Amino acid sequence: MSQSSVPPPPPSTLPEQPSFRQASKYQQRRFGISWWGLLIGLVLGVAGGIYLSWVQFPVIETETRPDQLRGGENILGNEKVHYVVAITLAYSHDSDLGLAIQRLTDLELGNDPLQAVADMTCNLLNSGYAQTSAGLRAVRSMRTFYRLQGRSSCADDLIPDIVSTSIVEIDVPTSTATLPPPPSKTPSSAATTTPSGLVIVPTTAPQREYEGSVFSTFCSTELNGIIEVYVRDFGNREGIPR
Amino acid sequence: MISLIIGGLVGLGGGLVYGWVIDKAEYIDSPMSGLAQSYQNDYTLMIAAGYAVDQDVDAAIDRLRRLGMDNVPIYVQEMTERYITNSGDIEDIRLLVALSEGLGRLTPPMERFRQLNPTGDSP
Repeated sequence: MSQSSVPPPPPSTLPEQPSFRQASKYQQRRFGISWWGLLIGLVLGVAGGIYLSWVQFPVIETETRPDQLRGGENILGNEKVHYVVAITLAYSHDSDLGLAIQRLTDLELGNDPLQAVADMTCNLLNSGYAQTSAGLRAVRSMRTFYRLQGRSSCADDLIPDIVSTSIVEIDVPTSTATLPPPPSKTPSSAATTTPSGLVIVPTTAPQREYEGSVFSTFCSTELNGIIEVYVRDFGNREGIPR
Repeated sequence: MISLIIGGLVGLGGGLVYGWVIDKAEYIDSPMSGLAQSYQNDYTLMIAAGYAVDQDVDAAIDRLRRLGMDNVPIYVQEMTERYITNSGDIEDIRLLVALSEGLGRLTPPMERFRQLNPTGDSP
């Protein structure tokens, strides 16, 4: 066999077989999921969503419960205190202890809401809240409420008890009623007048006509069987003008 | 990068749903004006009961202003008429009518709920 009969070496690649090339980026699988990227994006997204919904654009609160009302050291700006005032005012009207306790429970004032009312009363007094008549009435209603439940606070000593108005007795000498003498047949020449002995105490002339107020009944364990008559002048001040 | 964006969008949506629906931000220092309607009604009734005791209109107005109402008399009138229309508790209605009358807003529907008073001009 001659050398010419030796077949030529095969080509490096067959015509029907593509030559091997290094995979380019276009040959890589598109849209492949990077699990790490997805996880990082998820974490960042959740954090951003919570930040937006809690801090930047929180839901406007319109269904506030009493326990969410503003508290704090500033007693006059403490909304819970004003809610308690309303509770004790209502209690002074209906004496419904169960309802009052339920309302206090809604405020979540702590383990002993009754003592909390007592402490609030003390703080209100020290803040000057009771300098107005309305404030004083409110504080008195609070004090009555917690004292009936066996609690105490500094308000017990600072607020004077309601005392009955002292009655001023005026001794007025009055004449004894006597029958007039029968008329005589001969008229007397000189009529004599005798002093009757009645002393009239001058009073202040009325400035305006009396206007009736409202009759109402109330029930109090402290004041049994008493009729209270409040007299106010037209300046809305209590008491009888002198 | 696409995975990051997809994850971020899904996470953002989830975060917003959680923060707005599942676990809303809860206020703890709210003013009285934010009270739920039922508690506002209850507060107004308590003030009306206080008014029945002390007859102090100014104090009642001052206390009801805390609810953030622009016009307290109209607010009380509307609430009173709503209670009458909805056949609310008779004692509540009487308290509200008395307060509304004290505020100068006595309307015909309230007339039959007026309390007797010494002037004798009630029905």
